[in-house]
Amino acid sequence: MSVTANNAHQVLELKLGATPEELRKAYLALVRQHPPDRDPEKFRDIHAAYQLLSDPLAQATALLTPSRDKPDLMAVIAEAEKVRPRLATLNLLALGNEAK
Amino acid sequence: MVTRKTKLKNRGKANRAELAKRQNQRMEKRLDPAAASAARSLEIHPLVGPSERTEDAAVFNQEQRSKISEELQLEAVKVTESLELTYLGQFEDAIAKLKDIARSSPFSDWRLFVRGLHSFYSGDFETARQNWIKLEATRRPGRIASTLLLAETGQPLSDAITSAQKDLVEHAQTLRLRKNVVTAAEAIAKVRHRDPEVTFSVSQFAMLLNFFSSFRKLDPEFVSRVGQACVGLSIKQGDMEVFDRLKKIVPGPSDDPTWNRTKSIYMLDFEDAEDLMMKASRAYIEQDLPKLSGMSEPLKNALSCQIYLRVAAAEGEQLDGENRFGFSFGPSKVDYKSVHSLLRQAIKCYPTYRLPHEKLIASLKKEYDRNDRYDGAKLVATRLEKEILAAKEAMVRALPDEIEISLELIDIYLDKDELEKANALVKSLSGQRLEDPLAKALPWKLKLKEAMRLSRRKADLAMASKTLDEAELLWPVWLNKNWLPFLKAGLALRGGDQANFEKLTVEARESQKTSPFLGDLLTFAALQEMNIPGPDLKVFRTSVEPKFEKANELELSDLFSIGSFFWDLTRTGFQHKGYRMQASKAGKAFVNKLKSFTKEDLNPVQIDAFSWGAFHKFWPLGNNPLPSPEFVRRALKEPRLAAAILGWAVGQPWFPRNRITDYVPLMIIAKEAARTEKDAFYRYQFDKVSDGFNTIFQEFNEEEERRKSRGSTIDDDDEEYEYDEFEFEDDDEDDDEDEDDSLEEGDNSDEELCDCPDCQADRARASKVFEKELRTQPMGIADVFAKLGPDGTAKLAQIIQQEKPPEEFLKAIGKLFPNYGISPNEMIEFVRLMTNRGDAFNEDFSSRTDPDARAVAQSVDEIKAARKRREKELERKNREASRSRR
Repeated sequence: MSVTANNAHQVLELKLGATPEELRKAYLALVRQHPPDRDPEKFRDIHAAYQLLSDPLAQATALLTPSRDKPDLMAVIAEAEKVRPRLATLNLLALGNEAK
Repeated sequence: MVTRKTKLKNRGKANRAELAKRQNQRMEKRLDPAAASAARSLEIHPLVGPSERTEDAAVFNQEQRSKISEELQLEAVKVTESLELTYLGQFEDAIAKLKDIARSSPFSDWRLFVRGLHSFYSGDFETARQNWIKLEATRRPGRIASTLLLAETGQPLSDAITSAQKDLVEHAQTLRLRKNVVTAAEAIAKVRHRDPEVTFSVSQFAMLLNFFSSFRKLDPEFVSRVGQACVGLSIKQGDMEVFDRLKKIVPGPSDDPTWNRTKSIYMLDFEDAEDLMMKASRAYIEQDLPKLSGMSEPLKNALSCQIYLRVAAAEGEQLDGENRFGFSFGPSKVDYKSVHSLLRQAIKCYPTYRLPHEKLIASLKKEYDRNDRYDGAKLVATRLEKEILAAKEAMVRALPDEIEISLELIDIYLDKDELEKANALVKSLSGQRLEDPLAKALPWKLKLKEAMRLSRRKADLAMASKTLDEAELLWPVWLNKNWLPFLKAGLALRGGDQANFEKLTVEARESQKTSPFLGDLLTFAALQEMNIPGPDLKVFRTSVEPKFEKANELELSDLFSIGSFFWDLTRTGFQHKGYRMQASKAGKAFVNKLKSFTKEDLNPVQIDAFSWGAFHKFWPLGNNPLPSPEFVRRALKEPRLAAAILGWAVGQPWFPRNRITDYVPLMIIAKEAARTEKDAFYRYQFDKVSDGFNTIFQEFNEEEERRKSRGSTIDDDDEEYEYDEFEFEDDDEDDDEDEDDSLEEGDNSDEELCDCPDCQADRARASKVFEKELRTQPMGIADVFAKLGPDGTAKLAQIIQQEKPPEEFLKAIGKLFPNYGISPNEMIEFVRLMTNRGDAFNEDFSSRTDPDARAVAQSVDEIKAARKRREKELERKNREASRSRR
């Protein structure tokens, strides 16, 4: 996968406002899981994401650079299908309604 | 542009309602009616049951929440927030949210529930069961847990679960299946477009509206992702209407919730959208960024900085356009003050970023260069000099490792005799590993300047002599030393030792083999630098200055010699007094005389002189930015000369980009020479100028690419579009999946215009208003021509290409040509331009019989042919569209 400003957080399994310490911690943890000799491709993504996120200017530039790729709606759907859906809060709470 | 919505309004309320009804029916059909109705039946809401605990109801019901203590209310809010975080997949944060809830709290069951929910969503039903088994079966968390487990595994949590919950279990099972939502999303994705330029059509937009209203509550995250992908698709096409409507219904990503940042990027693709880009950019910085609590401060600052830079660039481009043509099509909204203010804001946001500093300095220099054309120039120049100095100082403070700007600042300090400041800066650089030969030569420069300063007071002359000796020891190996003996002689005269002065001068002239005139010049310059009093200087002045006054009478050999000396001063950035006073006159004479210089192979002195001539603008710039052919021809053989020309080009704030490719061969020559050049100064220079030019060239290419893919925009109205408000223009039933319904195309075709008397009257009124606006523009057509001057047509061509004035304006200009004495050739050029655009034109010229007029008439024929081709193409498209509908 190509790492962009929009998915770098996802690659490092971080939320948007992660601190530099959290970033470093997540990076090291993932590098331990995917060392370059065993999983070079994943490592490359992790490293690219880390480099992007540790430089705010690079991240800002990436966020402000128009994407040349056309979004693939079918790919979005296919990706979503792989994930077990979580229930929206109100729906979840409604499952506890008392029996009539 | 007339929007579909505006036209619909004219049809009356009843018609509108009918259209809306039909449209909804049609969209529902497209969106898989079964899925949509299933979605609606799944919409269930938490209800407060008769035996519900108030604390449990307080999690979702505001009224119930107000019945519990304030402390418990806070816990209820935490539970709700934790559930939301769980939904968003932020499990750790969701658990952390509830960590302060005590075991004894009535909300402790919710804490346990959330823990189990995470295991459940991860597919670990056993751990979920372990957590949930401890829940009170009669309370809501227990009931939800039980329903979920029963739905997923078929095993109830405990025997307390009754079959009465069967309907809820079914709900849970259906909710867990994404199939229905996916089917609806696929319907949107599968719409095909006949026009390859359409990436997201109006029909898809309408389907998405339905998709949102049907599934938003069931699967908000997925719905939101689909919506965001649709926004992404919509911005890939050449009009922004769909995007503008989409962004009002689709929530943006967490770092751009209102799509302002996306819009500001999108607007870059449009030539006439600077204002919209600036508006969106400002909204993102001023309204959105402060609210993004999840974004780190450094990233916020970096984004603000980059956006300010972008807005400043857009304003700068606008300003450049106005300055180039001397007027604007309407009141000017930008000025240098505003551009500089934006750049200063960019610096403030991210002081250690080099680019805004550089841009500010360049822009200030640009204003400085333009300033000499106006009244009161001196006052403005003084202000700008101060601002440039301040900008450079700020940059050096923020970026002490930036050698280039430090060198510039040191030169300014030296020029102003502020040696202490220069010294401090040199010291601060001494800790760095310097590669630039000029930076390495700084100690030499400082010593030389110090020696000159010490020569002011007779009491310090001994020290001045010592310092000059020290400067000699530091003299850079790559620099001619021929001016040093003259400086020593000058110092002797300053000490009153006439005999020694004469002896040293004669020796210097002989040893350096200088021509008599160069000897006179070097002597005079050295005496000036060594502070010889005016009366004593007079005799030396008279041997130099009158000759410069009549520089055209100087021999070319003399001009080569002094050119070589001046090149040394130029490349070392040494602001020599003699140089400042005479260089320009000598340079112009030099360039003139070169026209008769035929020798192709140059000696080192001639190369230096050529480099000096090329680096400075001693020839009129005109339309050709390259130096005269004498320079270019030799530069293709001599890398030092090529580098000098490139050095000039790179330093130009007004670099004419339309001729940029002419410089590419020079860049290649300089780059290749950098590998083999032995002289340290030139080796560094070759790399520096070729890389600098390459950067400009790359930027140019990117900009060209962007320009080619640009479309056009429509008015940005702030009208809110609600789900139900969106309506289609065409009211025929169209079940064909083939789509060809971009707004752009529909609105441009004649058949879309309503011919009813009301609409015709509306259009007539609008046309009158437009004509009035045209007449009352601040710069009328006559004024435009008065401003254009003799190169009118060429400038006009540029204006038309860059400013895109309204077609009526162009036609009016065409009609005015015969009245303003524009030559037929210029007219032809203009007509050709019009032909390329395929626009209509005043055809009076076709009746004239002279050759030029015939050529004009021929061009008019070409216009007619182009127009016919266009009409035929339109007819063909219309025919295809009708066939497809049938």
